[in-house]
Amino acid sequence: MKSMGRIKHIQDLFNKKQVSCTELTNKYLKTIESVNKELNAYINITEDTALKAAQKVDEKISKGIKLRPLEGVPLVLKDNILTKGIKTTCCSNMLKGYIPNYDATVWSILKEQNAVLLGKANMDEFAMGCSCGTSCFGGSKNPHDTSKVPGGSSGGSAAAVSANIAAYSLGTDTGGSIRQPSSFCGIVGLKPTYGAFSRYGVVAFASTLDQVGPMAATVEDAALIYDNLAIKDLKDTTSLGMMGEKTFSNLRKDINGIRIGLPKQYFEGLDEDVRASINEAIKVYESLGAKFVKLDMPNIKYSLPIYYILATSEASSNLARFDGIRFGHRTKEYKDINELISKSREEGFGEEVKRRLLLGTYMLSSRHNKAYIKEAKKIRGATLKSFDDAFTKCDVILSSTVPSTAFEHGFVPEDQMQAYMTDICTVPVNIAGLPAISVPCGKDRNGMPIGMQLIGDRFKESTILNAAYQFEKVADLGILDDLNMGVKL
Amino acid sequence: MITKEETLKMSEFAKIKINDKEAERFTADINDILAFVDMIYEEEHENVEFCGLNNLKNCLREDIVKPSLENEQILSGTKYKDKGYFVLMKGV
Repeated sequence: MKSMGRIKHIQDLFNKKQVSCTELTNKYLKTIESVNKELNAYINITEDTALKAAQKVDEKISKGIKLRPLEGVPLVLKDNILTKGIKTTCCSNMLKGYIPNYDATVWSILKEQNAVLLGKANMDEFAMGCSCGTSCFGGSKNPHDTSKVPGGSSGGSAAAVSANIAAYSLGTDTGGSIRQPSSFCGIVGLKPTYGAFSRYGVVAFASTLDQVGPMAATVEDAALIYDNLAIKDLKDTTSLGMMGEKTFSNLRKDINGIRIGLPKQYFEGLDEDVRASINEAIKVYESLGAKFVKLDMPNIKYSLPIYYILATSEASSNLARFDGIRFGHRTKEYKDINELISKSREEGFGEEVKRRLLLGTYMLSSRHNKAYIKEAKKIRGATLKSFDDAFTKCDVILSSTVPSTAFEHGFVPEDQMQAYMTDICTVPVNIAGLPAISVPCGKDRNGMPIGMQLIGDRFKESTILNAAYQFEKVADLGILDDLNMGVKL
Repeated sequence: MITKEETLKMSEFAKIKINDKEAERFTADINDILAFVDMIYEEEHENVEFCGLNNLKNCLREDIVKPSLENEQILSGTKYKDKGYFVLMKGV
């Protein structure tokens, strides 16, 4: 199969003594050194941390001790996931140089398994953006065509995994920030059900929408990561862990008879090549015995406007903690406490963050605008009900992840909303708190990857990963096979 | 729609200092977004109460004192510190 799972393959190489963990880690570090100059996927490379973990893994292997599922596998973490003792900046001037004194739970699980942390990935500032271009370290580049963006906000993660300068990554997804860059870069990106992964130690953007998730080369890799990280965490009281079945052991289940929902709203406004790829994907599912159910979900079209009401309101509250007093950037000159805070925030935040915080403050502030939030919550309730109804008729919902493919660096939108429209297919999933995966399903006429999105009911990651795996196996597209810049496994 | 004066007022609430030119720019941007957001009023929506995701209920823990962060750890995020305190400026 062209799309080879990296995690098991890497551990296989270790077990057969074809390469040691330290040798492989050094190979990744050396490759990052050259390739990152072009891609800017990493904003921090953690050589010592990586090699210390690799050494522990080699000691275990030399003693014949069985490796745990993610042990020794090199990864990069999005830079809004706290890593104790290692700079975590959210790619913002507000947190440049900030060193956290605790670990995010998702990282502490991986650290305990001696996962090899190669570094921290570039991202849009505070996860606000869809190109990786709002990063204070400059944007990242798409490995398939470096004149194009990798997407965002988990752009650096997507670029690194796509180029194989990391075997996998963890990103975060508030409105599509795992799935959209995964689609743009030709990799697999899973946004788990809200509450499946702990958000403790993940810098909050919008607390009812954020979720951490795997970004990987294959569905199998995503399944392994999910099974190991979907754990209930007492430090995050919104976390529930894995409420459904384990995913890896269910990947190979026959999907004959699976009911696939096709909401008509998801097939409007697609680029020609994206539509063609999705139609081909539908044919693959047909050959696997799937049954299709036409759906009409008019509430979906309101997801993007209510997202900009709810996410910005939540962000204005969450980012209020950045005041220059206890951590983060502090302005040098001020005459009173008010000036200390407002000048620190003026200097620390970039344009996009300021725009969203001002909008969020507007949404929260006046009597008139509280009506926005009340109406948005009503529509959110109706959207959840739409999806609940849909899942009585189908097992998964299929759509494109993004209506188009990666756009060029320096693209100037006609107006502010045009910049945000790239999230139109992904946002409804966050509004409803559902799981969804982006899987590569083709390329456009310029060779840029196209992603297909599979949405599942709450905690039905097993169902969507099973459907994704069977597609990946039969379609056998090898989207990453033409890329030669990264580590050859 | 938002006016420039309202944008400046929001910047005070949000405690983000912006200048006049920025206020004009942000006003235009926010109005673009509000013009799009206003589509939520184009029809009546079903009155479905949103009670949060996953039927989560607020929960409390036992009131037992547990180890917290050490003073040094709490102060580690800034260079503006002295004798175990965050340094600001004289208020009185």
